[in-house]
Amino acid sequence: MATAPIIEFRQNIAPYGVIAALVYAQSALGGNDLPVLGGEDSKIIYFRVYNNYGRSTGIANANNLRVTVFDGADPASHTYAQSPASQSWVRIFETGFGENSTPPGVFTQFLGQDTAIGRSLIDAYIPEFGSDGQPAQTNTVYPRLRAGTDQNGVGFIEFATYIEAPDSLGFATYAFAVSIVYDWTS
Amino acid sequence: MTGLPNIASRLPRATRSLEERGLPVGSFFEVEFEDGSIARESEHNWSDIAEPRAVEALGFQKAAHVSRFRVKRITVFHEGLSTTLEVPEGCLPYQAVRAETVVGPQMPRRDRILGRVVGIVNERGQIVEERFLDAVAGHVTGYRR
Repeated sequence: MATAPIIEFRQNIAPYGVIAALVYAQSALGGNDLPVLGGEDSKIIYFRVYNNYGRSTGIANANNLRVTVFDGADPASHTYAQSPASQSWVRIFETGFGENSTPPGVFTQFLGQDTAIGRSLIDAYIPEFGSDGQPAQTNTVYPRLRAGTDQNGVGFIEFATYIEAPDSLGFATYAFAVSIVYDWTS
Repeated sequence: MTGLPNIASRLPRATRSLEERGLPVGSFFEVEFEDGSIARESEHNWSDIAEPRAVEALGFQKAAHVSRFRVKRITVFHEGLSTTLEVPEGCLPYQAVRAETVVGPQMPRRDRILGRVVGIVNERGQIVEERFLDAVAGHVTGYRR
């Protein structure tokens, strides 16, 4: 028995609150959380993607997990036509994973490959380890985000992401979405 | 006839409705086993029919929940789209819901189902054919080896 995964973006530190939006900013001499300057990098944002943080029963695994980015605030866009996605400004890598019967789960640190994502799912980031600590390339379930070991617990993968802004950035606000795509079965 | 119960009748019954399992109305599978019995998602879970396996796609590997039983054909439906695969001798089908969760600088987190994947793997674990009911674009895509 399996019900759809309950995927949430949450903070990587207590109280592990839900992240409403990813806001890329820069901290430097003169102030914190400033707009990102052209030719420089944003601060790193750490976040966790959880399956079943609320511990519902009978929750499915999220399989074949991959992370990408597309342009536009509307997820129906998927155009890959504007700057952040088409020029792969957005970078992301895994920083850990874990599971447990109760949230927040037991954390294991792992530094994944820093990867530019965008343009298409070809430029997606595939986490090296799933929430169960199984390496993606040898596991029978390429990397998966389990709801604990029994479909009633929690599992997570922790990520770090930042913007690598080009020199030609200019004064502009860019709308784009970070996307987690996965398969599941009932 | 052996008198044994058919495959579909031996499967556990789903205890939750499609909606309770997170599936929209009109999104389900229908599979006909080699003995002619039929299982539908309204009554059964795919996890009771299939088991996870590593399969070879086009140049990479991925996970698929492949049927444990011999199957004649499988049909998947999603938001007005449907497709049927006849399963050749020596091959087994798999299927899954493909979903997405998004978040961004100027948008709240949002979940949605992109569509359904259905495919066939051969005895060597290679995908012979895969189709995707693309609910975003509103058509069926896929490839055949």
